[in-house]
Amino acid sequence: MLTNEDKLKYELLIGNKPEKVLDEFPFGIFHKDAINFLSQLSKELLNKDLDLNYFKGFGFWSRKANLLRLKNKRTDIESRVGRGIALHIAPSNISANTLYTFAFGLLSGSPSIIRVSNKNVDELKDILYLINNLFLLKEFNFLAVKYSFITYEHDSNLSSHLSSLVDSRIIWGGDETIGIFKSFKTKSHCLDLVFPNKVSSSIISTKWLVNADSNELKNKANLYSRDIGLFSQMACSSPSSLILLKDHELTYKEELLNFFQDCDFYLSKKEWLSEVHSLSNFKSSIDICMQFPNSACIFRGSNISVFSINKNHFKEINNFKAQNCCLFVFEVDSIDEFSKILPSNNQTVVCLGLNKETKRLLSIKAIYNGTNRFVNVGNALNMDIYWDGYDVISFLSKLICLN
Amino acid sequence: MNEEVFNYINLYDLLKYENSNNYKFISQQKKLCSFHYDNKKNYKKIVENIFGLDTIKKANIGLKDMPYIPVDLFKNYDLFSTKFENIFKIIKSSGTTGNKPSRIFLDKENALAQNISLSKIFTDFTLLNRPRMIIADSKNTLNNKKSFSARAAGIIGFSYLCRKPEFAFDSRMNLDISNIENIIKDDKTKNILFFGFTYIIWLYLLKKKLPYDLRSELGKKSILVHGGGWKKLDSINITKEQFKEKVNDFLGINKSINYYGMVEQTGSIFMECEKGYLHSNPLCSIISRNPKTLKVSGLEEIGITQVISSLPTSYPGNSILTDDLISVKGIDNCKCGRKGVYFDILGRLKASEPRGCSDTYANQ
Repeated sequence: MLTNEDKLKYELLIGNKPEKVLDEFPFGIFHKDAINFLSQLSKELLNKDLDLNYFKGFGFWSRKANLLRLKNKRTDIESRVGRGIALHIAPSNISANTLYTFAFGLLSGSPSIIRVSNKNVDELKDILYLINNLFLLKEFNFLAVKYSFITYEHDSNLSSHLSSLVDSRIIWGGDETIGIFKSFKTKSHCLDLVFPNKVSSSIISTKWLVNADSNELKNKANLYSRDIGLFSQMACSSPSSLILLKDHELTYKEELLNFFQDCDFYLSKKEWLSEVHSLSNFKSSIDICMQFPNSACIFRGSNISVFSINKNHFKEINNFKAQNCCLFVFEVDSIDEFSKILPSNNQTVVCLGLNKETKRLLSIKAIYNGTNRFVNVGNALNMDIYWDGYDVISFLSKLICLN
Repeated sequence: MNEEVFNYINLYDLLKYENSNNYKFISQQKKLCSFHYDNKKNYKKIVENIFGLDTIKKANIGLKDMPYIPVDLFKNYDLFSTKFENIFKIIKSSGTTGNKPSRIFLDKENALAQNISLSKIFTDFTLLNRPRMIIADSKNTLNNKKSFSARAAGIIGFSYLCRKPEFAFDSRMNLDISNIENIIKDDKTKNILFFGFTYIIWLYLLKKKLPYDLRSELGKKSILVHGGGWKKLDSINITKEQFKEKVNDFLGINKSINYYGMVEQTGSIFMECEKGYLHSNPLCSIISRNPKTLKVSGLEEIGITQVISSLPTSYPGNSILTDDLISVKGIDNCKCGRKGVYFDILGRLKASEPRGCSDTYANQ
């Protein structure tokens, strides 16, 4: 149980008190109440009258149809229940992911204590209000007592204490946070789902680049600008490099520059783009000049900069982590070569213009090197129940064996 | 290059009647850019990668197209365009925003150019010639001889322009009124420069009215020159007008001149004219850039401040994009009669803070 001293140190945002949640029982995965709750929340978020644009992606993902699709893909619905009480250390870089981690708790049947980053409390205030209103509905009484949203300052004692009482923990990185939480004593059966620091890359077929019609190129440039721009490349799944797959003999320089020009244009049209993005991009570009004197800027727009580097320096640029729509590019001759140079902490590869067979080949070769997501352009940032190599629902639940 | 800088500074009195963007100023900028391009490898890389070699080699390039670097660069890197053994002084910014301070590397020639430049601008705007000086600060501010804070650099810079400077505060920042009285009583004192940092003046000097006789004498003989610290005053909602009023009321000084300058371009400061606007001068100019595009902003539009100085030779700081917000009020037509760009500084840009996956918990 939480001591009185510990209780004083957290602020309950919404839901039940954490000490009460700890007494709750888990329930089945994809429980009808969980699906109804999330789909109700989705309707609220997609309501045009509400100014919650930032969370619309989550609203779209949590539509009833999508949740039922995810449910129907599973064959283990009847034989899985939540693993127990889950402690979620929600991410601070992308506040919407606090909602995903909550959804993972709901869909996996795990009563949850969700520690919201104090950096995100303001941003999440309106949406927490919506969730609280749903909790107050009679039909969701069952769930309301099982979830607790709290926030507290950096406090090792409380984190350690909560860690010792739960059955699973979801720790949204990075490495330093994971290190801190791993140092706390947990129950012997407690499982940790951790999301350490990762980088992501993208690959473009130069054959496609040369042959695609201008509408297709513009469409893909628009999607790619979202992948690199929405979180200023600070999300782990946002690519910081674009590898040029030399799968034909023609020159492609002009088409490539046009593609970046289009990305720059579409970025300028994004309502979510920061007011000072151009300045941030400029500063990041200068920083690259200082850090990588051997790189050469091949494109510089108002919102995006592209630097050509020697592929032998790929490891260094992954350690550097580009920001604010700065991309590193270099050429590879084959998928095989690309797979070999991907760093072991690469999470996502965004694919542009790769045909199905090439993409399949890439996934076969690169998965052994660490990469676990191969997505079409525009999908880099789409969160799902399959993330960072985990089937999150399976991980947070236990399989019941009936013999 | 240093000789050319000294020659250029000597043209001050001629150039102050020229329109902004005059040929000499632009030409001086080109020379400085080329000099840093040839002497600083990373600067060369920045020019080639971000601006293009044309921006310093082309004959008819304008000021707005010449290379500039972000002010943060001086916080994150040691930048100098001379041999390290020539560096004799490192000036640090206050770093009040919680960031690392800037480090500016000066050789003797560059430091001298800063002093001469400051003298030219100071005399032009105050019409004072080697006045007595009262520094609204404590001697302790100057303790470190090798590495100066911006506050110390300002005090030293202005002290060179005056006779027998005295500090107004003791080591605990309590007003030592006898120092002011002594200067006033001195028959040789014709005029006085009261100098200090805006926030320090507000916080420590404008606590209590000076006695009537001192206020009366200061009113006849003194000018207050102050700069820096507006961000702090803004945060407690103090306007320029309120500041001036209180200076008049508490010190008796009815002429106070604000200036805008930074440690990255010590010596070339922008002083306030009689009409209340900050002004460019033959040694430094200013450009406002739209934060969304970095293109030059129009008059009255709020933009990011790019400061351009004719002095920096030992470090590549001749053209710097700051985080300050500006509104350019006009060019070459200020009612005060001066040429050049006149403007208001509006505060600091609220920088977005990119957050990575690494800060879920650990960095809070």
